[in-house]
Amino acid sequence: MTKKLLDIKNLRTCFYEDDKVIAAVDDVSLFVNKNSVVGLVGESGCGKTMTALSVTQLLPRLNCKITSGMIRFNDQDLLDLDKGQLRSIRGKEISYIFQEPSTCLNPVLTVEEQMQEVVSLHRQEISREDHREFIIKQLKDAGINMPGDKVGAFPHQLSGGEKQRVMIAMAMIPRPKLLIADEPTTALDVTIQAQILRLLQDLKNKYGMAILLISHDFNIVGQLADYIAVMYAGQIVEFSSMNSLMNHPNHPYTKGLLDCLPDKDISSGGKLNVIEGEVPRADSYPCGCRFHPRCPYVFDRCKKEMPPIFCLDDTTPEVRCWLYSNSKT
Amino acid sequence: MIKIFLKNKLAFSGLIIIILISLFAVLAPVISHYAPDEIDIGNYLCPPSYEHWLGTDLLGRDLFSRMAYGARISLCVGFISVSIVVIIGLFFGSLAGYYGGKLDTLIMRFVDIMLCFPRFILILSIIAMLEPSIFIVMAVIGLTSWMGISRLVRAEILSLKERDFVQAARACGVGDVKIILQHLVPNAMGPVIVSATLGVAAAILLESSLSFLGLGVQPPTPSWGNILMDAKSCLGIAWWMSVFPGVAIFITVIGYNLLGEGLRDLFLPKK
Amino acid sequence: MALLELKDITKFYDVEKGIFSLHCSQKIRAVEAVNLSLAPAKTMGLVGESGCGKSTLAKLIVKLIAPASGDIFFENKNITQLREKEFRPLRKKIQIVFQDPYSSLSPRLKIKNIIAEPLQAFKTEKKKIESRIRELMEQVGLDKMYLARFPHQLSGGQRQRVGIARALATSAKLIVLDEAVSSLDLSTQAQVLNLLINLQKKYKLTYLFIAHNLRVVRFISDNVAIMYRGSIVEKGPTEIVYKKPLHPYTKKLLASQPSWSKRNLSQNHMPYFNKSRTDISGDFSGCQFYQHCPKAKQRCRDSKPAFKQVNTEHGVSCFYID
Repeated sequence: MTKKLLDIKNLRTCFYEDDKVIAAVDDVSLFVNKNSVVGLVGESGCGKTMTALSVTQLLPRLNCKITSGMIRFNDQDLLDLDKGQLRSIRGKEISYIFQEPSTCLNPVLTVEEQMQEVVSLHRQEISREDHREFIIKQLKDAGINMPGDKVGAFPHQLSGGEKQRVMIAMAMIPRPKLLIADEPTTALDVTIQAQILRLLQDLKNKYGMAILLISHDFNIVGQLADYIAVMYAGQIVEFSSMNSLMNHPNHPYTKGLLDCLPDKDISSGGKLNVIEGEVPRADSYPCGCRFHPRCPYVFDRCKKEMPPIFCLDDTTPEVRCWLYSNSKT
Repeated sequence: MIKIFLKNKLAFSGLIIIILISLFAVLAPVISHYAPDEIDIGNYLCPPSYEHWLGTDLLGRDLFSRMAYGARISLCVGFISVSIVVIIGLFFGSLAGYYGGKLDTLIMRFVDIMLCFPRFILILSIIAMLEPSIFIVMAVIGLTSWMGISRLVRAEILSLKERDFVQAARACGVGDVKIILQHLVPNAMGPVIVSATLGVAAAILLESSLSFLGLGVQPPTPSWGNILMDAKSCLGIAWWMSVFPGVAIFITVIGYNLLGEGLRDLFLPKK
Repeated sequence: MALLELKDITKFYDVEKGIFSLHCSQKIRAVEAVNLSLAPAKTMGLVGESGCGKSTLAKLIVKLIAPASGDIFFENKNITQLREKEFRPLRKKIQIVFQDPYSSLSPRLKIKNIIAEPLQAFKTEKKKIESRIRELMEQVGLDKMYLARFPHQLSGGQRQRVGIARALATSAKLIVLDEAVSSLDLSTQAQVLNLLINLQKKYKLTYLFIAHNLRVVRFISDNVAIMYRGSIVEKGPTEIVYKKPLHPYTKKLLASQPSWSKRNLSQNHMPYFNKSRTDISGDFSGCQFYQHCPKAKQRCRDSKPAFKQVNTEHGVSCFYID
């Protein structure tokens, strides 16, 4: 039985705005096994970033809270820990990389100074004199050309791809067990994107690391992931292995999204299958299944009751859809 | 948006103060028992009493009425001079920001030159050359205070004109003037409104200072500043003549400043 | 007969160096010697990565900026030197839709005023404007109730539809779509792409579709041009270029596309990082892809390859093609 490194169950994270309570993450359950990659796919506003931030409670303090659920990391309940204990896990065992490397790097510090901060915090066994050498090696591992020169550079002197590599190098310093990558390639050019994905895969293999890869692009996620979770309107609607999801998507939303991909070998002039309608706003979700107004397979029960997650078999495929109500929950 | 504004307690108090002062000014004929220039030598320099709520001045004129009519002057000067400031500032700022190049350099160097003059001395000099009156005061304050807003407007327009919706309007064939008036200026108004609100406070203070020196509103028209001028000669004996106008100016300026700060939070919210 | 033709279009941007900007400025080649021909009622895709000059080219075509040299022909007429006054009537026929649905609509105008703007600029009668606006809303699939709303009350997809309606208002013949679907979600993107195709069929529109997403370009374009650092390196019918790319950069681009179906194949063909040649730095006069090209030789560094027609429609700018 493969051990679950990260196990999220029924997570609910809410925003409090004026007098409204908006559940950005609603009853989300997923898991990431050791040394595996799980992709989290969904359109903008579906809650993927909030889910990622909830793992180590990196939420905006004033109006956002995890209201219920369980997050277990390496057999530890993360929601039970106090701030100090959580901080020792965040950054050390769970690392993050984000979409926009320019905003994540301090513009007035050189690469070396920023990375040194992480080294002093999480790799205290390395002596001060050896810091520079260690940092240069990390940059080289992340694929930066001439790391000896780049180490003294400021962020504005680096290209987009180089900045993202610096972020990855920083994230890898403490040798985390889990890397949460939130749209790491969206802001990059296609050719650089391919290199970064390859880099992530190699690092994963080299260090036995697990990755939670968040993206809106099935193809990016599909290139690395072993499992894919699809989110819609704050909920997970499907969670299954990569091959099974891409070849036999179960949830109508997943099917619709995959049909939208201008991927097929059709000559231009053909049409894409679309999902009619729009994603509902967070403060006005429809009753029952949130996807029902746009679903081509809708029937009465969908409009009234929210479907629970059904397991299609003992291995993973999980679907939140009344079409599968014969399976067990 | 209004809800956010109401939540900001300071800004809300600022607004209340301004509303109260404005009511005070507008209702001046209704709430005053005496005319502001009704002389009653027999009752000169009376302390606050039941007949004269704020006392009387050197010529026995009721201070309360004079304060109420003075409020009209202060607010009038405030609004009109700031309107002049905003119009001139928008004009120069939009031209400089939109067209750039030599026109921009020309206008901005002109602004720099204007800023070299110490404002108050400049105003004093101009008024001293002309006959002081309320209109001259409004015009001069307006003509010497537009530089800050023009820079603000120029900065906003410089960044706005590269935005897609402006490029789209140009691609649609919309003329320059229409683009400036319909697209750029309305979107640049945020900082301008904040600056203008704070500018009203500054204008009121300026007018009071000028009237205090005798170069602003001329007697017998009452203004908080020239009431203070009269108070100068009886500082020790008639405290009510300096305290009430002083406090009124103080409260009005604070009111406008609080409102301005509140509007700033509204237009430039932290996310 | 081509609807739009670009001949040797070049655009430089000056970058000033030195404290008081007194130094001689450095020129950045945004677009260099671009030749492009748009056939009527067809879509030309323009693909490239950031900084390749595609947006600059879009602005040159709509005459938001002027080229340093070269000519632009629209309906066989040279429009390059036309002053704004003379060019204005032609603005009706050439329109642009921008990438960002959030910043391409004026935040303080209602939707109906945004769509009316081009009509008002060309002095259309008020009554005709009203009916035309309703017609346009119907064509782009937006309900009339959105006319009274402001842009921030609409979703990204709806805003982009408004942008398209505005571009169609004056019955344009050529529409430049500058990354028009790049900021949209997958499902919205599909809806907007279908809308664009329908409109093209109905009104025989010509599109210049600029994007960095190769799949979307392949889907919608009849012909495609690949841009790299200001120059067009390859162009031809979409299927031919995609199936048999000739230029090393095109091959690299196509190979870099992430694909879930590629995951089981060996990915060792993707270089780990840009192995760039270090014998050159800064500006040089040869082929701009020299530093990253696996096939480059001395000749590539010293001189720029001319654009060669490999067959009637497919052309490439490279000395060493298979």
